[in-house]
Amino acid sequence: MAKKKSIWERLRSFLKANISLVNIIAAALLAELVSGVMYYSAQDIIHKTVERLIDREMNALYLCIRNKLAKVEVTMDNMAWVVTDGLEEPEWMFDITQRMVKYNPSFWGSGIAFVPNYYSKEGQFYEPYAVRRGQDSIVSMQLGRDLTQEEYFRIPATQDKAHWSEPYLDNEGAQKIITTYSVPVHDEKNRTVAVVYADISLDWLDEIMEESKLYKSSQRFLATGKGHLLAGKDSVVFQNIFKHVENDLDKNGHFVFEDKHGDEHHVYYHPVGGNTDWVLICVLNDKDVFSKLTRIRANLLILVAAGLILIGFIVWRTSRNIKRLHKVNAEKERIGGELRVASEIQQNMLPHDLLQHDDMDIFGSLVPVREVGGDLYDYYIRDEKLFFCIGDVSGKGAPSAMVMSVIHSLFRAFSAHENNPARIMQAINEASCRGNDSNMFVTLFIGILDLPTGRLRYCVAGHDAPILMSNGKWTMLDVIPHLPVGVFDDMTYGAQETQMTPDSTIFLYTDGLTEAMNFKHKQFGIQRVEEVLAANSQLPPQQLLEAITKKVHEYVGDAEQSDDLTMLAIHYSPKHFESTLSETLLIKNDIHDVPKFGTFMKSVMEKLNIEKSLARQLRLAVEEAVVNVIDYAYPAGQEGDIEIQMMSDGKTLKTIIIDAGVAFDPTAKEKADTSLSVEDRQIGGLGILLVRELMDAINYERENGKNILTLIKNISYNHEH
Amino acid sequence: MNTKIEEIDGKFIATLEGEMDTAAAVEAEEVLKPLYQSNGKDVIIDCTNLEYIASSGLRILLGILKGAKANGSKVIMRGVNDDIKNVFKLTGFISIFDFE
Repeated sequence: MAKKKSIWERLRSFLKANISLVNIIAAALLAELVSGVMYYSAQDIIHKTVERLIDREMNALYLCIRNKLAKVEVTMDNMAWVVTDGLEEPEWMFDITQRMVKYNPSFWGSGIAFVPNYYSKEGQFYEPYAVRRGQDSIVSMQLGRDLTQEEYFRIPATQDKAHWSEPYLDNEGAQKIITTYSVPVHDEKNRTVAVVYADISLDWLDEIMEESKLYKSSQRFLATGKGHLLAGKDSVVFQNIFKHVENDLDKNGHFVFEDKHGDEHHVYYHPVGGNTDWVLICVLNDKDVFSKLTRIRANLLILVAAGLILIGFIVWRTSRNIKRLHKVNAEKERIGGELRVASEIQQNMLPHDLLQHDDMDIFGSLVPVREVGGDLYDYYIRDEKLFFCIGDVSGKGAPSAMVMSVIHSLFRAFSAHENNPARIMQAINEASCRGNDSNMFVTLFIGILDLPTGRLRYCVAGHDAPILMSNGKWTMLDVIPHLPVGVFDDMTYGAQETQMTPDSTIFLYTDGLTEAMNFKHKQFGIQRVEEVLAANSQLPPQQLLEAITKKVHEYVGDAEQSDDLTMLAIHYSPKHFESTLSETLLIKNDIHDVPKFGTFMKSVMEKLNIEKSLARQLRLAVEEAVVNVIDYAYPAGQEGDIEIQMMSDGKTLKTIIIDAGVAFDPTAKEKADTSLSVEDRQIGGLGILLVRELMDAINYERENGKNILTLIKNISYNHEH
Repeated sequence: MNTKIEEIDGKFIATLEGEMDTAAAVEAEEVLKPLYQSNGKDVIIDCTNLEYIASSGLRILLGILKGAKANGSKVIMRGVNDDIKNVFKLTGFISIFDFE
């Protein structure tokens, strides 16, 4: 049973599969974190700023109030002195009060209350009083009431200190909130004899309390130490706030208060001082202070959200593209891997073993511009003939490579039993035209070098003319300008022929050499090729190609290789054959002449001191070749000669059979199948099979109307098998 | 070369002696022709004294073998020397003939 994945594992695999989602979430968290930090630091800054501003505002307000009250206090202190001086004249007291009200616009009324029975003739309570009535009139009166229990009298008189009373509504005259400031008056013996007082209307407070507010919605209160409001609207808020303030009336302060709605209020308070126990309070609703910040934050959040959506979209698109890219990459890798294998296959198609032969030296090189290319070369030796080709498929890369491998196979197949390069070319052309819907074509050079004679037969299909070098001189091989292979299937190709002299070299190439470009897009050109060849004409093929490759690399430099670069060089150097024995037999094309041959062979074998078993093999091989000529060279009934030359240098036995019959190439015959059953075995083909099996090499040439068949056998060792 | 046919115990015995080159094969075929129709009898070809054989000789042997096979009889090679055996090997005949 499969173990269930843990939640953690599942989450991990989910996150792995949704990297873009994770990215967005991370971005969102980051954005929120940044905006949060910004918000709180802004809040902090605003708090501090507000605190400072409120402090300044409160101070201004305080000074304004303090100033007013100080004036009253100073005036009343002076009045107390005046009263002290005029204690002798009770009547004058009216005059004083009258003038006090008159010259102090903020005074609503003013009076002088004497302790009971101070002036015996004025009665028990003497209290001259002046009060405003209307705009300009001031009325004086003797109040004469019992004032001993009144606050404005009792506190200054008993405690001997100036006193601001609690506010009260003046029902009689002012119909206003009034506070009374009273100061004790002493006689010369410093006894308290009276209290002078002034009724101060608090109208002016309402005005200044509303002045220059930082926040319109902020509330200001002026209250006495007992919690009575001098200015500001009474409210539950005030009552609640005051509870916090009343125990701390002697200094400035600030606290935060949360109401029942959960709103935070910043409370600042400032004592008025002087002779008062008043306190100035300012209340700020947090909401008001931070309403703008909140709006900014909301805007910011909207922006962030929009940004996130945008990022999300981009990430989604990117991840989609990345997925596509991954897919394309995987595909590329696969194709790359396949191309590497294809490249190996293609390289393996090339003849990579050095071909060893006494008469020639050959070397080829192919550098594809991509993994696989459309250039090809091939060579192999059959029957003492070097079959070679070089070609260039139109285009580059895989399509060309496929055509290249087809052409390579066709070359091998059609040259297996055909010694005429034109016929091989024609067969390749017909085969490659079949089904060539992609219209690929191939420039191709096919050469067949007869190694014993140096005869080079070749056929060119639109390929660059090879260069022939002899005695330090180079010549372009003469070429018929045939169309490339793969264009028209009914093309007729003609073979051409040249003689390669000993110690000459043929150099073949594809246009990748002459058209190799440097970074200025200038081509290497045939002239440079010829120069390099001339300078290195003495080098064997491999070193020659290496020298050219080096020159091309120097020329091209860092520029990108533009085309496949393929070269093939063959150096022809036939081994000199110095015969120590040479015997010739001439017979007729008659079976009955065969015993003559048998005798001839025996004598040659004896002269060469060849042991019996090898001698039988040689006799059989040569007899089969001769009988083949007897059977096929001349038309039935026609008499003809057959010349058999045998020569040896002690190491190699060469047998040359010459007849003047019709052209007949036994080497082009397909090898008989030796694996068939009795019923299917054919009578024919056994002779040539034995010749091939028993000899090291056979070679056919037709020259001057004669068939020349050469059989070669190494006789330097004693035994076969 | 010498060529002869005998019939012993219901078997044909062909004796080949000397060198069977292409010319000799023409003569030998005249002698061996009856063996193309062996009529169900096995054929023993005695090569004990045969030194050399060309492909035309092999053709005669193949002809005899084809005739024998058609009638369900065998062709047995006797006393074949190494050089001739090598020729049988090269031509693939070694797998279609029986050797003693």
